[in-house]
Amino acid sequence: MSWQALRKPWSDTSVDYCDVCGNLLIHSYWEFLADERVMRACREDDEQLWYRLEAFRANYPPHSAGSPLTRQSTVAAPQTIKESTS
Amino acid sequence: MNTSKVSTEVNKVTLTLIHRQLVNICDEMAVSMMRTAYSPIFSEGLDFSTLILDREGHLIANAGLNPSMLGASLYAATWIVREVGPENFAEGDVYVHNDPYRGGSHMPEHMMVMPVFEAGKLVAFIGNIAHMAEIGGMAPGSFAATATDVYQEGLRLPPVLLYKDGEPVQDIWRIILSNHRTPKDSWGDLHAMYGSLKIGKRRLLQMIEDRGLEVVTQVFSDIQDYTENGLREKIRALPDGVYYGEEWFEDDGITATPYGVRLSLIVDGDEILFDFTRSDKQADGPINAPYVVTMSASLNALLYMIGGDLPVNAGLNRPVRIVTKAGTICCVQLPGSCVGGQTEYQPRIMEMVMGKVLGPILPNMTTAASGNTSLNFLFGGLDPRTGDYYAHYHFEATGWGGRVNTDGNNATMPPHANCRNTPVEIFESRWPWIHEQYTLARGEVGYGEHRGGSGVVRIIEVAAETITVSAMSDRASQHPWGAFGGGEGSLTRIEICPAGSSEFVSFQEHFHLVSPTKFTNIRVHRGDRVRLSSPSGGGYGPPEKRDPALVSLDVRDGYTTHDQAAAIYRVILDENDRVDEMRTAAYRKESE
Repeated sequence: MSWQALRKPWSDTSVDYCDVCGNLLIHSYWEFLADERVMRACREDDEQLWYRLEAFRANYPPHSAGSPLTRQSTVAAPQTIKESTS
Repeated sequence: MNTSKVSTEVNKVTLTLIHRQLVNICDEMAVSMMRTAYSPIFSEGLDFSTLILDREGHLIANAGLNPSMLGASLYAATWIVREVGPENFAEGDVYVHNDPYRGGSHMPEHMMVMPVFEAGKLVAFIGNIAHMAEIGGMAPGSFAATATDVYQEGLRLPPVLLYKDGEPVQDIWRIILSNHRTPKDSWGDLHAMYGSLKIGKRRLLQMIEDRGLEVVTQVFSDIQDYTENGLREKIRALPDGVYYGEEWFEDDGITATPYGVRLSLIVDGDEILFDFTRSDKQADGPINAPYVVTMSASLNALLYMIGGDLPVNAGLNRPVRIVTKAGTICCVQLPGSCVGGQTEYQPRIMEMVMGKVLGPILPNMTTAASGNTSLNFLFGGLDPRTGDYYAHYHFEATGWGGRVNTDGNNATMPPHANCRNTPVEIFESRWPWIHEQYTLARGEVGYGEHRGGSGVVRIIEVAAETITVSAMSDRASQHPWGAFGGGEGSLTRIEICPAGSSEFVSFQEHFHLVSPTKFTNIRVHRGDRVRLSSPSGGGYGPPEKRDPALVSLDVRDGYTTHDQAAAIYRVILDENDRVDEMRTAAYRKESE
């Protein structure tokens, strides 16, 4: 749980991604441990965000992987499910 | 009047005045770019943004011409500042950068930033982002719909010095101009960008002299707080919960595989989390989005729905988090191709949020789907009139979706882009095409209480021996959806009528392509005719609730027919297409 420098030689043009949100890491990252995995984050508060998201994700309904041709051609009564978070 | 000695407490009046002045500076920069650019995509299309940023690269004000650049406006300059190091900027420097793997949206969009010093101290940056019409790569127009990695999409620049001590860095200019197919246009457009930076810097320094540095920098901070607090207040008014939506892309130009984006939007107190992590893995073709494009789509949707007149600046990012997973279509991983993410993915995701996700809780603010493709059509070759190489990035307007109190706009760029069309006169004087037709597709709009807006049909004939064309679009099989009982809009069609023939057939059929809407480097020849048909928007609300007088007008204007007026709208018209009010009232009552 600390900021770490992301040191690379000037000739290294690879890029690194935040393990929490996918944004790019620029020269430093916030390191924390989650489920025995070392995580690299672009912000310090991403550590809290990770656990906050885990709680929500546990209640996501399964998604279906259908063909767009059959899934999208309906007149849109809203295809949305709402859940209480309380 | 020098007010540098006043307290740095800034009241709301002063905050508003100075903020408006900052926006006006951005507007003046934009006018300068429009008037001095060489390429119609700048001068006619207005495909650019102008920015004022604080000393860390945070967005303070913009001209707001092109909302699709919002994510990059919020993020790309901070990357440059951190990569270069604030201590390494000097008076007269200008950095250029177009790397989607460093905060850019896609490679044609180039960002320039110029530091502003006051009494030797770095106080701000002036910036702009603009879509260059040609940056090399595998296809003229640099929009290769079949690119499978970013290296095929053109010349990729990390932040590099374009000017040092106010003088051009010639080595960098030579690299750029040697890799673009139309270096004269690039020369002029890059100078238009540079000129607008100089205007912005001059005006900002004038403001600092008039108002005092402390006041101006306090406004930089306060205006972000104002936006943050305003957005938190608006989010707090939404019901807490998790809202879901998904959107599909028909193919990626490489295979016919559809790709899905899945969003879980979490409203939690005064914060919103956009969780895209369940989306499909990144595509082989260039429909992928860099992180900032997903950020743009999310924030723009939120601004359209609840933003009101909140100033656009880095304060937007504080109560909102965009969560993606690297290696998915929502967050492309190097070396994935991604040029289409900005023009196809972004508007679709934006409208998914507005329509399918937030629409049910904000029905008065939502909209049916617009045509929602930029219908990018790229071309290049040797102009027989001049012998010069030319290239152009053309985008086509579509119809917008109906809304709670109005029909959809006709022939307007998708809501994320806000660009203008290129007039026929400019088109024909710059490139070897002759227009046969450029009309509204009125008969294809989605029906509804508020009907969709009309897309366009453009037929152009090749007036050179050969032109190399490419395209990037979607919606060849998925109609723009209607809302709350409204009907669907129409589809994208890209067709060719070969010289000597009288029949149009799809490019896909004629050239045996994988995709009907995404292809690269097709050679068309003199006398061939190309027909571009952009989708019309979906309708909002049930058609039988449409004002009969508007239905009568629609019939006379060609948006619907006499028979459809009865069958769909439940409106009986006489032989002159005037409303028979008694019979219409009875018919509608009977149909209830």
